Amino acid sequence: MVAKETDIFLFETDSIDSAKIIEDIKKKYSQVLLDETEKKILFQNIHPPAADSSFLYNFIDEIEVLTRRWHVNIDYNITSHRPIIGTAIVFVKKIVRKLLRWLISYPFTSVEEFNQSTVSALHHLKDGLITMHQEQSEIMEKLILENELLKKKQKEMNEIHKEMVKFIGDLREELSQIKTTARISNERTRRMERLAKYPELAIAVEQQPIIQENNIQYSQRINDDSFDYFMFDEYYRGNKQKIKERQKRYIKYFKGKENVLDLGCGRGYFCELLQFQGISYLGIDNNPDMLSACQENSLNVMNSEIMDYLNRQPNQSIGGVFLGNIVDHFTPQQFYELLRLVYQKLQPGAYCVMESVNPQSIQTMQEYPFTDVLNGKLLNPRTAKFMYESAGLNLVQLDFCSSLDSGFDKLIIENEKMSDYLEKIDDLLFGDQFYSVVGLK
Amino acid sequence: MRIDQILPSISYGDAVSNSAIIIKKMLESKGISSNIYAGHIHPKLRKIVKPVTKLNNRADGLLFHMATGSRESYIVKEIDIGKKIMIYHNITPARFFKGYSSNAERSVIQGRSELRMLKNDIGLAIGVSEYNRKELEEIGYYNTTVVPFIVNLDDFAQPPAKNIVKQMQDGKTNILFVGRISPNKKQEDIIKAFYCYHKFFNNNSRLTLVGNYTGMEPYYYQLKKLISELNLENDVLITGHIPFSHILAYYHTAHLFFSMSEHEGFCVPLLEAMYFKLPILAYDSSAIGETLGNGGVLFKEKDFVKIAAMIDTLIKNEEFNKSYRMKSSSRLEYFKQEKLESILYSKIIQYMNE
Repeated sequence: MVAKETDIFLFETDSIDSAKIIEDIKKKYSQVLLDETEKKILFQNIHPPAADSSFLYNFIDEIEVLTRRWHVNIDYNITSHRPIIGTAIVFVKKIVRKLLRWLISYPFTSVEEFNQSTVSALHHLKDGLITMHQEQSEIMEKLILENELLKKKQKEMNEIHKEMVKFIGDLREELSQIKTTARISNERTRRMERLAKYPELAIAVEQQPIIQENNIQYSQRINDDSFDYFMFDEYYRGNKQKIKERQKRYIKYFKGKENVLDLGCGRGYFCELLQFQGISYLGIDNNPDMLSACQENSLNVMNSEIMDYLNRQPNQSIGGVFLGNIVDHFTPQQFYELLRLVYQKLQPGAYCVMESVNPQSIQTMQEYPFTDVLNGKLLNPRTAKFMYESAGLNLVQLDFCSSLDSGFDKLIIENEKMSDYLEKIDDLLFGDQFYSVVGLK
Repeated sequence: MRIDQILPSISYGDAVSNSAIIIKKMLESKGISSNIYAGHIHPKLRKIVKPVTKLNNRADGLLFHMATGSRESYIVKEIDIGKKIMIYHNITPARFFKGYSSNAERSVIQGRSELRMLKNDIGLAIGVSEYNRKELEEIGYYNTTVVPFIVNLDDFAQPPAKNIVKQMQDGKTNILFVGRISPNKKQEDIIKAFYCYHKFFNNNSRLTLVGNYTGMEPYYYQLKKLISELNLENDVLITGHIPFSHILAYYHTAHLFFSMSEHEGFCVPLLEAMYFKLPILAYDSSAIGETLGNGGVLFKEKDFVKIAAMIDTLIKNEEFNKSYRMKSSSRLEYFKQEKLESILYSKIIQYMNE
């Protein structure tokens, strides 16, 4: 008879109605309902103790040995390996033992009693140790469990933190966009308000004398048709932080100086740097939107044509001049004249610093749409340097900054010539975005 | 002809030791002398067993009983005896002892390594079950065979301890497992299934786990804790090391033999339960299925509630109970000592004459 597998069981079904048996079992177990505590105990596997048990094991092993050896047998078996006289020797030894029994029985009994008490005490100690070890194991198991839970929670927290960081990042970006939009909207509103308040501003500047209003002199013609440089700069000139970070390097030329001019100060980022350093300065621009934004930031600015302003200043009265990205507002001839005038007005030992987009970098020229609305043209860095020197400035330095990531530098070219060519192409395509020229009077 | 036997330790009443003595008697009855050498000898056996230090190479064959790691393995490897036979009683996988007993863990790891070491030195490797034989074959033993464990159950005819019998015959249903307290025997699963049986089917029942727990105290205390968690302190008894007459008493008064063991190379207690015509319910693992054969009900999954329902049916359903008491008893015929001795003798002689 072959054993039959029924449900989880395997049994022979010769004289037994297996279906009936299984039916009976099913009926029984289907009525059983285990509560949660029972389930927890029954389905949880027993694991080896979590605490280190090696000491305990060694101790138990040693106690086992002691338990076998505590009994000191006074009547131990006396034997002899000698074949013939052995029996006589054993007999004599037994006699001696019997005669000495009165002498040795007491110490033997004492030793045995001592051994018995010691082994018994050690057994108690063993039991206690095992209980303690078990408790320790249970605590450790709980700790391990808690630790796992904590790790899980930490992981969840990390996930939440990541999401929060991302969310805050998104919020910041959104806020920055809102701020920019608000600023632009404010400017537009202000522009319209000014137009409504002073309709005469809509008349061309050359026909209109200077009008004083809250320390800002509006001389430029404003109307709805004029190109909005402020908004254009907000969109395309670049991030305020990045610009300030880049222009920080020029501050050293103006430290300890007074009456420093930021000619064509625009949104006033360099003015902010000067103000932060406690350098006395004045920003000059003729765009009312830009000036208004500067005034909002409590910057010291004035509305004026650059040349007009300079002409009004006494010679050798200016502590330093910064010309930030204004070269494109002039023709080369006009710019040269500006430099000559600057030289004339600078105090001896004062610096003239200019910064401009580098027209030698093709990538930069492609990326920056402001080149479309240039009044003049960008100067080649070497031309700018030559103009500085021609204007009379000394120790003229030409510098480049903010290189673009080309990816060419990752290529490993063993051929030297090829490497040189590639470097040149790299410079041409992905050269530094900006250059600066510094000259000392 | 002389075929000596060697084993690490021989003690009184131990199954492997008994098997060595049975083989000695069997060989001597066939005119083959056989000395037993052991590393550790129980005082009562000093007359028939010699210390391993006296072992020499004058025998024609050497039969090694392999059950754990020991220095005797190296002696077997090195000794200059032409024919070497091994009886493999199996070695418990170390994973069961990890964290409970470093000694036991070390010993079985060493045993497995020695088993691999001896594969080319043993001319005839005998597994006491097909499960063991397969293991030997997988390791690389080239000549393997099976001869079931030879057990002499004559001692079980001795009278049981009367006080225990009286104590156990109190109207309660007695579920029994015999085997040392050890993680591979999964006594915790026996307790869990018994809990379901006791709570849902028969609260007038008792579980007795007969077995020594010395050296396995951490596991024993875990079992005690489980018993306490399940409020079974008055219904589960772990006896520890007890006299043989007490073991007999527990067998005599049992209503069912129940095993959840996950590793057995043969499982002698199954044969003992068969001797007492007990219905047997056992988890089908390692060599249990082949030892039990059709002598009991096996199960393949440890679903405690279903198992509890089967315990109840095996005990309460008279026809089913009677049928399995008979099957249990008749399965024992398969392990008849004389039959197995003759099989073992023929296999040994065949190898010796090769």
